[in-house]
Order: sequence, then C-alpha cells, then structure tokens
Amino acid sequence: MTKSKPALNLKKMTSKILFLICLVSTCIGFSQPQELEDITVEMLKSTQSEIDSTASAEVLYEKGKISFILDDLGWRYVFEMHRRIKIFNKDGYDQANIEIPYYVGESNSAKENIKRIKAYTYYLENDKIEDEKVRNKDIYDLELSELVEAKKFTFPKIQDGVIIDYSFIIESPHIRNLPKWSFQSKIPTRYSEYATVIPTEYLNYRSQSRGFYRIETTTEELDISLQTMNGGVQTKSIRTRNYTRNLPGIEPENHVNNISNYTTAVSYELSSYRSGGQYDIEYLSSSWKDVIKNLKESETFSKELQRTNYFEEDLANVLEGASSQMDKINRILNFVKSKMKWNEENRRFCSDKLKRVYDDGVGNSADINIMLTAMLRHANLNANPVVSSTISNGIPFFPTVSGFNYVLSGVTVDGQYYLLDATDNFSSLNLLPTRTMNWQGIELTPDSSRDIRLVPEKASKVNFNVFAKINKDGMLSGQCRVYYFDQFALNARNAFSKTSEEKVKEAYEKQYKVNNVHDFSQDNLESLNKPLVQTFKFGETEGFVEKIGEKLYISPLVFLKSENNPFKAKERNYPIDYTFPKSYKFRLNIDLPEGYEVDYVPEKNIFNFSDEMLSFTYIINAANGKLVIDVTKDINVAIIPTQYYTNLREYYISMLDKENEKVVLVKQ
Amino acid sequence: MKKLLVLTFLLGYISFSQGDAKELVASIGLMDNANSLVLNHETVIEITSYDDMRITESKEILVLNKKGFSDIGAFEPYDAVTKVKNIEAIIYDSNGNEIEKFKKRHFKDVSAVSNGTMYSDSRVYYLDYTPIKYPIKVKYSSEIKTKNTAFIRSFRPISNYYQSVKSYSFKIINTSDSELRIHKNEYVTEDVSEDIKSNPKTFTFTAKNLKAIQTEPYSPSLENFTPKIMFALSKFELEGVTGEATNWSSFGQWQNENLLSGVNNLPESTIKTIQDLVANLETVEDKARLVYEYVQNNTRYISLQIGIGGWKPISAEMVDDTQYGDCKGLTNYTKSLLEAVGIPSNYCVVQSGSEISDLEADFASMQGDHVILNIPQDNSEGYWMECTDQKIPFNFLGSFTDNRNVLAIGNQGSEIIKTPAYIEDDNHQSTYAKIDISGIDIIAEVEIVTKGTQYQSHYFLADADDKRIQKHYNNYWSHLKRLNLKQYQFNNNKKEVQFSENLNIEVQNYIKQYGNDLIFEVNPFNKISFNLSNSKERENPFLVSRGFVVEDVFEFHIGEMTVETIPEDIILESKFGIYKLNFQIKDNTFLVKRYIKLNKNNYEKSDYSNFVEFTKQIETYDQIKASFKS
Repeated sequence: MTKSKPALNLKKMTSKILFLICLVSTCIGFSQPQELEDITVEMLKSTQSEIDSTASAEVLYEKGKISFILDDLGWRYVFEMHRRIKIFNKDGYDQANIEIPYYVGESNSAKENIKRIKAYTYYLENDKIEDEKVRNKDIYDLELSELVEAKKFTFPKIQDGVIIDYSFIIESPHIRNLPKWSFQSKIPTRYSEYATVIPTEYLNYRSQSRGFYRIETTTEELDISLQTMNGGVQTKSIRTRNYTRNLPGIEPENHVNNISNYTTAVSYELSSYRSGGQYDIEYLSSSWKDVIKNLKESETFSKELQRTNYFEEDLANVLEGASSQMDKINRILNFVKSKMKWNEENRRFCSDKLKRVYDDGVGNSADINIMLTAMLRHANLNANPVVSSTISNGIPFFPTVSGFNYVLSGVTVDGQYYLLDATDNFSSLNLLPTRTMNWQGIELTPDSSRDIRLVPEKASKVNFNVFAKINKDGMLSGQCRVYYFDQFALNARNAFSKTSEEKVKEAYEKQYKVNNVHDFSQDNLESLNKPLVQTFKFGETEGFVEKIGEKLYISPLVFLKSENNPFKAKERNYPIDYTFPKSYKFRLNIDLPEGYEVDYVPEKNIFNFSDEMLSFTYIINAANGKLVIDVTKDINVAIIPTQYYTNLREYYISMLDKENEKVVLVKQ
Repeated sequence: MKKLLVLTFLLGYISFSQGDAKELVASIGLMDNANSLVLNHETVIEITSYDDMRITESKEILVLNKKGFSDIGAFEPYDAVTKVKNIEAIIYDSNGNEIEKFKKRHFKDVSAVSNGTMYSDSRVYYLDYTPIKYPIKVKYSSEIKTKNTAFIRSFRPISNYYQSVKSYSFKIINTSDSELRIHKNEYVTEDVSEDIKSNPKTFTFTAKNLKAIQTEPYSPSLENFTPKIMFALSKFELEGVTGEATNWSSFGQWQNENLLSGVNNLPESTIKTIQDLVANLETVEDKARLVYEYVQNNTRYISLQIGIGGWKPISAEMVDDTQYGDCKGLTNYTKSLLEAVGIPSNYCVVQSGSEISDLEADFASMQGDHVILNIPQDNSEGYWMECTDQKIPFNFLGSFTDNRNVLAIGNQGSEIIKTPAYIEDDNHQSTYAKIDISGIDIIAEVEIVTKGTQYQSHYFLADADDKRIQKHYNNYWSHLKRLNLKQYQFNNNKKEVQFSENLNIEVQNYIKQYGNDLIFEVNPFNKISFNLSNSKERENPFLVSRGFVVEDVFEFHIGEMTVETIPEDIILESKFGIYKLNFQIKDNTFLVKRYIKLNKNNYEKSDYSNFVEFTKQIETYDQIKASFKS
C-alpha cells in the first residue's frame, strides 16, 4: 500500500485537480493477473461486447512487457507487445489496419529495432477454427518522418466475428521513459496489462498512473539472468504487473481541453541507474525537488539566465529614462515582443545559445521567455522563469522534466506577482495566451521554487451594447458595440489583427445573421491596457421579430440569444472545462414601433448554479416605447466536475428557454 | 473611392520595398481575395521519346498569409520511374532580403502515403518550412525526369482558390515521333495567348493577370470553370507498360488488354459457391444483386498502390484469398464473380466526388481517380455498383459518382457513358407527424422516409448505436431544446433504396405561453437551412447540381384550444423551385402541409441574389407560428 512519498507539494499541486484526475496508488489487487487463453469457437461466435453492446470491436487481451538487456551499446529495454482484438461488425474493420511506429533517430545508438512481427486472423469455417497469417511481404516499411519509421500491415480474411492477434518486439536504447501504456482505447478493453521486469540493482523507475478506473498491481521479487555482452549475470529484479479489466472505450466530448488527461494509463520514468561496469549510482528526477534540481542545472536555467552580454547595449537604450519598476517591466516586455518572433514551438529548453537566437529574432517559448527573464533580472527586477505544460501537452503523470514543455516569466514588484509571456504580441502583465492555461507552473527562484496558478481567477469580460429599433414591419436595425477585455481581448486582437475589415464585417453578418454591416470601427487594437472596442451598424434585418395576426413577437436578445445547448447528451464522462472563468454582459436598448402597445413582457429572472459557479441574470423593462434589457452570464470557475452534469444540463436548458422568451406587442 | 481605401489599407498593412510596392499598386486587382500571388510561373515540358519526359518548373510566388503558403506547391512526388533531378526553394522577406535557401538535400523526402491508404510506393520531396511572418516571396524551381508519359501535366493557370496569377507561361516541346494531342476546355479564352512552332513541335501558352477566385456555395468544381489545356501522347508509357491510343475506344482497349487481362481467375471453390448461390435466381438483376452483396459481405476496402498496381487491379484470386482490395481490385473481383455466373460487366473509370466532374468525352487520356462497375442492359441504364462500400445498396451510386461521364471498359469495346443522375423527385423526403398536445409539451409519432441522395444521409442510422442515434436527432432537430427520443425503429429497404424512420418523441416546452397566448411553430420536424449570404456580388458560375423534393404533413391534435391566429397559406414559386405551406383546421385538428421543390439547373450568375432571397424566404416561412388560446 505504499506510494512514493509525495515530495514538494505534490499533494497540494494535485488536490485542486483531484476531482478530475484520480491518482491510483499502487496496491495489491484481489484478483490475479490473467494469462492469454486459447481462442475458442465461443469467442469467435460471440456477436457483441459484454462491456458495451454497441461496440464495433473490443480488445480481448493486450499485454506489454518490458525487460532489459545490457550490451556494448549500453542499457536497452525490450518491449514485447501482444494484442488480440475481436471484431463484431463492419464499423470495427479499421481495427485490422495496424501501424507500428518506432524511432530511428539520426544515429545507430539512438535507433530502435523492431522484430518478430507476427499477425494472424482467426475465423470460423464450418465451426472449425482456422487461421491465416499476415505474410512478411505484406508488411510494409514506411517513413513517417526523418526520425520515425513504421511497420504497416492489414489482416486478411476480415469478417464480422473474426479475432485478430498480433505481436512484436521493440528494442530501444531510450530507457529514460518507458513506453506510456494506456489501458483504454476507442473500443472497450476486456483485459490490458503492462508488466515490467526491472533489474533494481542497476535501474530504478518511478511509475505513476491515472484515469477514472482502478489499475490493479502485483509485484514479486525474482532472480533473473540478465543478458549482457559477457553472457548472463544473475541479478535481483522486481516484476510488476499492472492490469485492468473490462474498461469501456473512450470518447471525446466537447468542453474537454485534453482527453488524454482522463484516460486510464500508466507511465514509467527512470529515477536512478548504475552503468554496468561502474558502480556509481546516478539519480534522476524522482520528486518535484529532483525535477527542479535537474531543470536548474540545465544550460537553459543556469547559464542562459545569466548571460547578458548580447543584449546589454540594446537594453540600456530601452531603459533610458525609465521611471519606475513597472515602467521597466513594460518596456522590457514590449522590447522582447517587438524584437523576437515566436516560431510557434512550445519548448522547455532553449534551442541554441540565446545570443544567436537574439540575432535571428526568432525563437521558441523557452528562448523568448528565458531571454525576457534574463533582461528583467539584468534590470534589477525580481524575475524568475516559470516552467509549465500547455493544454495540448496535458498534465504530467508525475514529477518529470518531460512533463513540461513551456516557459513563462514571473516577476514580483511591491509584493505583487505578474506572469509574462513575450511569445504573444498582444499579451500583457498577467494576461497569457490561452494555450498556457493548464494545471500550474513552477517558478524556479534562485534558491527555491513554488507553484504558480496559471488559470486566471478573475473572470475575463466581454460586453455588448446594442442600440436598435424595430419598425412596423418587424425589421430590426441599429448599432452594436463590443468591448473585449482580458482573455477575450487577447484572442480577439490576435484574430482581428490578421483579418481584413471586409472579413470582420462578413464574420459579424454571418454570426449574427444581420444584413449590411457598415460603419465599422475598431479602437485600441494596440492599446493593451484598454479594452478592444468594435462598433458596427447593421441594416434592416428580419428574423428577430415575428408577426402573427395583429401581434408582434419580439425576441428581446435579438442576435445575442444563444442558439444551441452545448450539452445535448444526457450523460457525460468527463468534467466540463471552460478553460478560464468568463463573464458576458449584454445591454440592449430597443425602440419599439409606433402604433403598438406592450401586451406581455417576460419575467425577470436570476438563475444560480451551485454556489454561483454559474449565474445568469435576466432583467427586462418596457416603458416609453422602449425595451431595455440587461443580461449577464457568469462562468465563475474554469472547471466543473462531472457529477454536476445533469444539473448543469438542466441549467442550460432553462437559460435557453429564458433567452427564447418573447415580448408581445399588439396593435393599438 | 472604395478602391483607394482598400489600397491604403493594404499598404498600411504590408510594408514593402519600393520596387515591390510599385508592383503591388500595378497589380492591385490581383490582391483582392488572394492568399498568394503568382508573380511569375514557367513550366517547360520536353518529350524526347514516348518513354522520356523532362519537366522544369520555376515559380516566384508572393505569399500574403498563412493560408497561402501551401499553395506554393513546393513538393514533387516520385517513384521508380520518376526522378527528381533538382528541387530548390529560396525564401525572401518583404524587403527582398534572402531569409533562407533550400537545396534538394534540405527538402523532406518521405513516403507519399496519404490518410486512408495502406501503402503506396511513391515518395515525395516537400518543403518543410514555417514562415515567421508574412508576406514572403518564394522562388521555387524543380526538374523532373520521368518515363511515365501517360500523364502529362495540364496547363491550368488557376489551380488554387484564393491565388491570383500575374504571369504564367507553359511550354511543351515534342521531339519524339509520338503524336502530341491537345485539348482545350471552353474556358481557354483570350486570357490565354498561344504560340505554335514546328520543328521541333512547340506549343507555348501564356496567361496574364488572372484574378483570384474564392470559394462560393453552389459552384461547380474549380477546373470546370477555369482554363485547362490537356495533353496526351498517341504512344506513351505507364510504369513500364507501353500504350497506344488516340480515342477512348482504343484507350479502353489498351487498358483492357494490358491492365485488366489475366486478373480475373477465381478459385474453383469460389466459383462453385457463387454459382450455387444464384442457381435458383432468374433475372440478371437478382443474380447481380446477390453477387454484389456477396462481395460486400466478404471483402473490405484497403488502398494499396504499388508500381503498375496503381493502375492494374490485384488479381481476383488474391482478393478472394485476403478478402481485401482497393477500388480496382474489388471492382475486378466483382466483375470476375459476375463473369462466373454468366453476366458480363464493364469496368468503369470515373472522377469521384460530390462535385460532378466528367471525363472529357472527346479527349482520351489518363483521367479519373476511381473505378465502379456497370452491367449494361439493352433498354435501361443498366445496373451500377460501387464495390468499395459495404453498406450502400445495389444499383445505387449516390452523389459520389452520379451523373457524369465514365469510361466503360468491356471485352466488347470501350466507350464513354453517363452514370445515373439523381435529380429533384429522385431525392425525395417525406415527414409525417401525428402530434398530441399535452400542456405545453408535445408528444408525436413521426415517420421520415428518404430516397436518393436524401437516403444517403440517413441510412447510416440503421447500423448506428444508441449514442450516435440520440446525437443525430439532437443535431437534426437542434431547434428542439428539450427533445426526448423515446422509441425509434428503422427500415432500410435496400431494394427500393428507401429508408424509413419511425419515431416516438416528446418535446417539452414546445408551446410557448406569453400572457394568454399559446404560440408554437407550425413546422416542428423539418426545418431547412441554406445559410446563404448576399453580402457580396456573385463571381463564380452558379448551379444546383441535383435538387430535391420535400413533402411534409404535421397533424396537431389541438383538443380544447381555440384558434387565435392561423397564418395564411403560402405559395412561393420561382425559377429555383416551389415552396408551399398550407393550413387547415378540422375536427380539433390543425393540419399543416409543406412542400418544397428545389430545381436542378445551371443558372446565370446574376440569378444568385434572387436565389439567396428565395432561400431566405423559405427559412423565414419555416419559422412561422400559430397562436391559440387555452
């Protein structure tokens, strides 16, 4: 029942996200791991999955086994893979197309070897089990990139009901990380096992698992003969078998930032090793403390943070006459933003000597933000790099250097903390690109480190002001002004700076279904401390008012009404991820046509969802021939746990019903 | 005034060196809608023998934004008989300074196996470069030597949307003794100048100042309304196989003798199986259907393109053994099985896709990207089979290969024939709903019946799981916020190509109560959405390639409710089609009948704005409400 000791706030770091990632501790299971059984007529005759009767195929058995060899090239792991899949119907036939990628790298010492590919289709003929082999000549070699090749093949004799079975071995020198094992795929999995036999006198690994489902584990100590260049050596090994049974297929849903965060999986990272000849033990990251130590010792976080020669002269010019610390920060951030272009690569380490990167004017996220941090420090500001993982990179399994793929910069002034990212032209203090809003970062201070929240607590705002009138034929025309703040402003600035005015107008016409967008203006595109403001007028448009007999039915939110409920499905497996808190405000002033009087106005309403995680206010007044509508929608949290889903769906339905209510006018 | 505004906008946007700026001003029309601008493009094709061709390309392209980058076309496929002798790209910034230079060894050299293909032996060199900012100028050049003369690059000055062309010249020199044949489509007009010299026979085509074309709905495919000149040799080579042809008949004969011969043998056991299967059937149609379903049940589609195998089917024997094949292999397999039961059929080469594209009827050359099978019949179109799809009905092609010229290759000769068209009435959908009102909810029995291309977008439901089915109706009726699908039953009548959905549903809060008024939309179950905009003048030709007919009946049982306002009947008729909405109150029943016909036709560009108005009218009428009192 022991788990490696949580080091450096691991507990704290995960507690906030515990409801989405359930860390499964290693423990002895009650049931035993399973061996591969012979294929039976019953297996071939079965017509549906017991886990999910609608599945088109299912994994009957899969096992990955890791062992080690030591030869003149050093340590290598041997990954033996075996998978057996039952195909139920035609929609599952794609499972028979197999691609096995392996790394070839640029040198022999980095190359992985794949061997002993065996693949058979099992099928019934007159109630007898037959098999057919995939011939060697039907296994194709493919280059996926310069560094990665693949073996590709498809199974013969594919029919409803067949079982396909394949196995292969990959030998790899990349022992630092063992192949990540996912116990789930798109189809259900009856049994999945990942076994490791680790010669613990030489190599030690840390493992971490996650996902919704329980992974069972057995461990035993073995004496094994380790294959080395001088023949076998007896050594002690630990055999661990991680296995799961009857897991459902995984399916993507909307409002999920990165599905792989929720897949049941296990990962191994090397924590210490001893090379064959020598007896020095080298320790690698195994706690957050070690990870941080490793990072700090890297070229990027040691030397490059200290090198200042290349920018000193330019920086002196930039800072000339700077009045305050805040002034300095802004000047430096703006300088790096204008001097450096981001090459759209998310990296944790610099690509080259920063002097060279600086001269080129192009760099990755580490290049740019390490440079920024170095400059801030050079200007005597209390600045530190913050390592993080982007949304697309997911949340790392366990303390690991490779879990990080990004660097930000953090600076403290008068007790106030600011995060900076110079990769984005429109970012500013504490306003970071959306891609960074994942989990949390770690600030590497010179003599310590601490966690930094990356998801903003403050809701990002967007306000809409509409002045419009409705004529007696029910046509709506008027003006709309949009104020984009915070994250919305950042994203809008990025989008609009690359789009022509014509396209922006078209986009509004299309999105809001209004005619003839004209008199478009945009303010503060470059003034980052102000909201981005866009104003446009629109011509007479029908569709927002309905004439039935003597009455007009007005949809008071006009084009700002939500069209669809994003949560249509009745059930949901994953938490609802809004990425960051949001606040929408709509204010509409609508002049009503003459000759009509107000017959009905919807009731005011305030909806609150679970302690104000979400809230919706709807206030409407009709007086003096005018409608005044104030609606706010607040999403006060970034993530809502799955168990709230049923109520959340109801909340959305009620909100949409309210938005769809009508004001009724009758002819006087 | 508008022009000037655009100009300052652009110049304010993109700073150029003076020379470039002038050029920009001069070619300002070319900037409209362009993601990239071909400043200069030269292609030279030299044919020295029926099995030797050299292609030299050099282009200078101004790339204005990210979307324009892939339209440089900086890649060259190659294989055992096609060699890339040289390939180079130089990138310049907006001031004309060289940023980066790529020689052949800097290009990525990878297998050209696209998604959906298991394996292909062709490879490709491509430029792997991500510009940091735009605009950039790219100078690209390449030199290819190939033995495959069966394919000669066409002259298509406009080959990408959103790309304008300042100058493109295309020269083709034939010093071989094989005759070079040429075909111009009707869009080769005065924009394209031509120069012909003899000794050696040389054609030069030049196009200048062609504006960028943008995608627009209801357009034909790009190559069906822009200039295209095709070339072919009367004697040519394809992956080591020599061919001679000057018309479709001889071209088909060549394919039949060289690519389709010796691949139709089947194992005796399979022949016996299939003969036994059809033994008790009388008609060609019944036998063919059974053979087709046998293929569907026993094989699957896998794309494999190796050497001549890109054009020659793998043998029927092989398909029989592995039970997979590509379109050629599966079509040939079906053909061989039909042969075994005494039914001759034609192997038909077609250009596939929902945008209808014909093989050029009066120009024989390697065209098309797919094959299908046809059993000719004396007094009808015969029977058609798409052999790569395991679910589609017998004798139904759907919008993938409908209504277009194909080359039918048969032992009795080859010719261009047309595949069946699905137009208007063929694409029929009816929705019949009996609706009970309960408070503000409705409970309905709905039957939807689809045919033709409408069938195509519904019949997947027959094999879908519950989750997918629920999702389908939630999207199909996305306007029904509180939809509860209680029961469903489907009937996929493959013989008639007709799909029926029988549903029991409940919609909560369908009826809105405002004060004393009870309001609801008269069309709960079949709203149409065209989503077209009239904001810009129509540039591309405008056509409705298939059309459809919709007939709906919604029967509301209103019980004790009394009528406040029932809309008046609507009839909207134009050259584009008909829309009718008819209302009746009878015995506590409010009956709504709806009819739409969208005509198939080629229209004038100037018709487009009226068409958009027509569709907007329909969309509005589909929202019409009736008002009752409780």
